[in-house]
Amino acid sequence: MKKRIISIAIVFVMLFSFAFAASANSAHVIDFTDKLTDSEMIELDSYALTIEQKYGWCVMFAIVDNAENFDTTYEYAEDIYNAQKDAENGVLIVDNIGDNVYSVYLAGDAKNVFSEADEDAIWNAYDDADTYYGGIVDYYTAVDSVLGGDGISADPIITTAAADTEDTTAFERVERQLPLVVDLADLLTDAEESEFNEKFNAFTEEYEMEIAFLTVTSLDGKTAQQFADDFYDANGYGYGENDDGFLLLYLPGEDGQRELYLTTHGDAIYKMSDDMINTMLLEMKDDIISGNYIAALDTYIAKATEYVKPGVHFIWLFVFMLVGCVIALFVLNGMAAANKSVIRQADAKVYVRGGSLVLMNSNEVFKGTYVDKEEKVQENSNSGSSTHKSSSGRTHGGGGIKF
Amino acid sequence: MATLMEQKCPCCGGAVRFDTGSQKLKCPYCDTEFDIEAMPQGMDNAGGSTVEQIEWNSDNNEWAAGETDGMKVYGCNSCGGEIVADETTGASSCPYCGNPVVMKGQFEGALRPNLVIPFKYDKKAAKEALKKHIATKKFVPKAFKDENHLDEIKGVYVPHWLFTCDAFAEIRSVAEKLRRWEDKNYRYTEVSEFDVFRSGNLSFDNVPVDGSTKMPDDLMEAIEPFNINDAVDFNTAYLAGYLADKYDVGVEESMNRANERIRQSAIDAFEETVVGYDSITTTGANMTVMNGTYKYALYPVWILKTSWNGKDYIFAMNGQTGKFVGDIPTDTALIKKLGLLIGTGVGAAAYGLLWLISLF
Repeated sequence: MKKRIISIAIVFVMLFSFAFAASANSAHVIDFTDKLTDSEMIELDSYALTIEQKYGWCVMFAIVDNAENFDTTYEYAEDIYNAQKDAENGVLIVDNIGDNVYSVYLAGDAKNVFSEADEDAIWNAYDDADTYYGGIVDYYTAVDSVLGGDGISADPIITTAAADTEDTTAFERVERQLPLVVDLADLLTDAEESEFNEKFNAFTEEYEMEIAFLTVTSLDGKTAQQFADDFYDANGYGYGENDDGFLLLYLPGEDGQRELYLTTHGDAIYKMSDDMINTMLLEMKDDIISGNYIAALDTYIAKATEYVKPGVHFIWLFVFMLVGCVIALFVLNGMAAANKSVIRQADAKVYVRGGSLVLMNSNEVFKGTYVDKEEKVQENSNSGSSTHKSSSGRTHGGGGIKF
Repeated sequence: MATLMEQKCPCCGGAVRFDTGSQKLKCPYCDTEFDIEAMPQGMDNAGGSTVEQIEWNSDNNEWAAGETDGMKVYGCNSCGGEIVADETTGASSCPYCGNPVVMKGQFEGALRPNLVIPFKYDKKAAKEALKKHIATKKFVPKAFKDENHLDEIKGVYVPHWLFTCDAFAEIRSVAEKLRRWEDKNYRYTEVSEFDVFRSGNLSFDNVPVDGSTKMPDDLMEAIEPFNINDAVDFNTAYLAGYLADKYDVGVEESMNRANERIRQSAIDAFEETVVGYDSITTTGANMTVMNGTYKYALYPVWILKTSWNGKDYIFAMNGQTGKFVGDIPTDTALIKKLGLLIGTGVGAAAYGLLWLISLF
């Protein structure tokens, strides 16, 4: 028993440390020194993805304290690139701030494309900036210009227009470039935004499901459902290849005009039932009316965690044990019933004279027919929500309230 | 002139009695209770059921002169049991309660048995059967297995009344055929009802009823059936080495129990002819017994008595077929312990499984 507890504890520690380590890095930006916030890293990652989609090159940046076990920062850079790369061709700069040394690692075609001057240029672009975040953005811009591009947009483009066709096959997946909190109605301060971006990122990493929040000032003539679905699809929200995740849309307004809509996609459809979504939204309603968005978003995270978190509530352990005991006792007592063998005979079947049964009258008269009608119980407790197709043809779940 | 009216049970046809506890009429055979006021109406109900019986006839039950000369009657001062043994066998203790018996004198009166089924299994076989019986049962307290000791083992010829008759039965049932379908919002069940009527004859041979009050009826029915084909004409010689019980339940009284069983079998047999329905409910059954005859027979039974924890446990073995019955104590503490262990184990495993499933 003790052994089992220890092994379970080890598994938990491993899982926890894995989740923790994963949260410090995204695919293209590695930061072992905490110079970047999570939301900055997500944004930088989306820049890198833009370049990757454009050229098929993997452009990475790492900020480290030391060269770990490697003799040189260059060897360390080579190792990092090969461990994380998405493509054969690519560039990685490792800024070893502990040893005050940097290294530009060129992979594949990059060795031919980048001249020594280009190498200096992309380093200087980074080095000249005032902040790490700004420096890395400049580095990406410099890489883009070396590769012949017209520069990457400083602000990721927000797309609400959906694909023109309803055909599912026509839907083109894009990588998400926007942060998880998009406050177009400007209801949150920058600090609050970044706080929730971090919380949402942590949630996303832990449960492998994206959680997002969007505020808008207008629905552009769409319904809240259409807007939320289209925004989710067009801007590449969702985790993993199934784009698992959910996005909460809020449209502020006068009493009765406010809209709160949660769209779900992928696994989130199955994790969140209509009832769950309704409960969540109703719990947030009062805080939203009073302008306490922090509290509302905390409720959002708490409820989402409750619904998405793997595992079964502890109370069920006791319920199962109790039911198990009742069944076990029932079965055992049934077995013990064989200890009682003194039982009276119910009939005289064994004394029936063989072949003596003579049927004299045998009538069957039809009396009538009636029909019983019983309403079906709608089962939707935990098997996911009702679904619909978005304009891009993808399946979404969700629900909303207007208040 | 005062007349004594006998009320009959509408369920089994047995004579009902007034039960002082419930202040109702109660059938001692099938335990059905009736309000006194409701009784006459209930009898007339079409849905009710009755057993009509006619006279039962028996073969000659007279003892031949001098036939009972060697038979002595012994009485138990403790439980009141009376047993018969031949002079050479003698009897020292009561097979029912184990207390000493005293010879009360020469056997006399009562009817002469028509048939006897001789013992085929001996005392040794009965002892072995007891061991096997206990060994195959589960959750027997260990102390019972170790400590119980055989107090008594007696071969007893138990008096049985054997009833043979033709039964005319009428069964009325309501049968239903169901058709089910559903649409988006509703489940529909179409029920087609039929009135079903069956009547006919069914014959029974030698339905036995225990004729001794000292011998528990359930114990005797539990070791059934005896194979009547092996029965031989009664001869006092078969009693040698065994005890014999004298019948003390009259044929009239025993008949009710036989009717109860015959009636159930008749209903079952005719119900079985109603086929092709989804449900059948019997609403009424009448039975008339015809051409009834009875015989008086002695059936061979080994009675084994053990005691444990201050309680007596009586076992019986069919002396003809070897069928062994007897209730055995159950270790309830062990069952509780096991139930708790298995229940919590399975419950925890189910919880763990659900937890794992939730990861995907």
